[in-house]
Amino acid sequence: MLQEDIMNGISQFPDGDREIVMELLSLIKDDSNSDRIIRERIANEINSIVTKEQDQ
Amino acid sequence: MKILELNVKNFRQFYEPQHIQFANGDQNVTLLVGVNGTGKTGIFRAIIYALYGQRKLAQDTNELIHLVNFTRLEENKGDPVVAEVTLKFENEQKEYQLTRTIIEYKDEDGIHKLSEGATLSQVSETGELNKRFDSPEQVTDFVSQILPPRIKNFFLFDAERLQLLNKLSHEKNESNQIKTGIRDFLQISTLTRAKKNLEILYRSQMNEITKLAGDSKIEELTANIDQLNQKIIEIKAQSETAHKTGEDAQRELDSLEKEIDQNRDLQEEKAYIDNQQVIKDSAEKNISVIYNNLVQDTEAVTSVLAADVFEQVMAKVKAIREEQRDVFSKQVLNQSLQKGKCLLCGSDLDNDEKAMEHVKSLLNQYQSSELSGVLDLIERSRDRITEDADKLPSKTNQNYQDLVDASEKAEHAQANIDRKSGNIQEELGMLENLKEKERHTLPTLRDKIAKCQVQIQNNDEKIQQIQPEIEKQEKIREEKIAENSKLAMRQKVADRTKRIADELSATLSNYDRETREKLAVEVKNMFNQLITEKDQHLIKQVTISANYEMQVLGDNDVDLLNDISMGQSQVLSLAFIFALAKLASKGRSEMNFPLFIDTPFARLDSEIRDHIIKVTPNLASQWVLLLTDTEFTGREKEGFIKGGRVGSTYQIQKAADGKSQITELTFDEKLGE
Repeated sequence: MLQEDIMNGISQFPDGDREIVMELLSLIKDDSNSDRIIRERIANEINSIVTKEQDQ
Repeated sequence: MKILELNVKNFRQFYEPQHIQFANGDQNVTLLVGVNGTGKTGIFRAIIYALYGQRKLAQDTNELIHLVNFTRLEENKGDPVVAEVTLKFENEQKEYQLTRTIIEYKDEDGIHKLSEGATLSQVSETGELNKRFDSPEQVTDFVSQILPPRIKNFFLFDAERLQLLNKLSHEKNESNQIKTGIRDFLQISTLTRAKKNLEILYRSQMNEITKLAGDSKIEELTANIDQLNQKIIEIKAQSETAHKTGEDAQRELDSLEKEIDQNRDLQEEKAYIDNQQVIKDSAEKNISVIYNNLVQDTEAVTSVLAADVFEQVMAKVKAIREEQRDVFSKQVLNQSLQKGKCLLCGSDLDNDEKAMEHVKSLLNQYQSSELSGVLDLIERSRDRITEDADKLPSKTNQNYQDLVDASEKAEHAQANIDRKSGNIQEELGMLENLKEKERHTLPTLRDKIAKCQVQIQNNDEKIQQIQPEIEKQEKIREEKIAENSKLAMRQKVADRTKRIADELSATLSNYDRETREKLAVEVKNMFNQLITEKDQHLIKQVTISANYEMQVLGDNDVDLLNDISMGQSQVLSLAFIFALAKLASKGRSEMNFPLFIDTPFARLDSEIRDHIIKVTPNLASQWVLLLTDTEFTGREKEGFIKGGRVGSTYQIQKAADGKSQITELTFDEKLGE
């Protein structure tokens, strides 16, 4: 769980960005993930969100 | 996190299996009481070992700490003995059971470890154990995610050795560890890692786009941007080095100033001794001069002794002069003419021509006897001896008086030196060294700090100049890439990455700043809650720097970290821990940690103890105290009764060497002793 003030800050992010950051922070919380894996996963997330927005 | 139960078997001083049920809920205080040497720290060690597999505590100086009970090892010489620690705890509404074992045996060569093991199981609602991990490393990793090792010292500590705040401001390695722990605890490290990953991702996305574009202009722009970004990284690294150098110098300066300040009295005594030495040297020099004067005067004394003889001689001299017509000497006539006054009758020769003529004629007609020279000599000697006889007694008296004064002064100064030297004899070398440091090291350190600050400021300005240039080049690159429709989608993804990185960077920066401000305010509030009323004015202001250096100022801006008692410092440490926990746990139910303190009151005076006993159960979710008998007197018992928050009380007793026992008592039983 994130500290309340951090959550408040992130909740101000635009739709899509907020979900990506939450995903990123949850990947970091899991100590078994290396930075390289975290970047790959987040790159895919951003890619799919931008593609989805583009399609809409 | 709540700790529920601890079971130990063959562990340290505990020969027989022992059990502790920790209090939680409304009555959240657990008291473990025992005289020194019964095994209180053994319990502390069992908790740390269970959670982290760590054998050594901060206070251990021995390289090797044996956890298996010595008596068991001795009884089973040559055979393996299993020591076991089992801890039940709850986290995020789930109950876990953690067991660590260590197998050792003893022979003629000593104690040998055979193996260590650990298992962690989740306890189901029906009480069944579902194994989650069965290796020591996995278990430690799991616990570290709940309570990171770097911050465990905020919640599990030996209060007698709690130097948290000193470490925050003085000891470099410990200080960096604690500061990193604070950042971890406040999740700043997590945000920083997220931001860095997004920045790296953006750069790699742009490099890929550049490669795919195959446009030399875009390649050139990307190379420029990378170069400028690299420059910023280098400048930031320089600033970081300058910051660390400045921080080290500041720490050294603080410590030196503190040392100088602490030795100020000794330095004043040393200055006094030096001054007395100057007085003594001057008096001794004076004595030497007076001795010389006295020796010279002894010559005159012999003549004065002969003065009586002159009375008879002078009568004879007068007769001879009359007989020889040497009534008055030629010298008298010459002196009368020179002075214009007759030395015999007193006539004014310059205005009495007749008298002048008479003296001149006497001189012209003067016929001296052959004895005249001798008579003159006798008369001159008489005159000198008469003068000596007149002056010598008072001169000699004065010399003797001066000699006595100078001797007394020298003796007095020496007595002062002897009296003061005893106090500082051993410190003389250190004081000289300190004086030297005050003259040379202090200005050098101040200069170093100032230079570091200037460098950091210059670097910030350089970064501010480079940043717009990067943005400008990025915009041009974006426009160039937009001309290539195949890359448009990739560019959009990269732009989005950059936007999120910027948003996160702004959030991190705000959170970091606001948290430091709130933490500073909260430390002061907590301190005033924990400390007795008379000391509630002590802290005027708390500030926490960007680097999580804490400064606590009192009246007249005195740095309180250097100027408070050990007890007050311990309360300040507790205030810092509570303030940090309060901020970090905001909105995080999993962040309730037990406060486990070994020897909590040793350094606190009774009034502060009363206050801590009253207030702490409201600030921590669970409070476990390992108390010596001197920390659990009637006064403390009364405080705990009044508070009504004690849930469990145990007594630790030593039945025999290596055979301590933990007995549960009702609180009344304990009080009835």
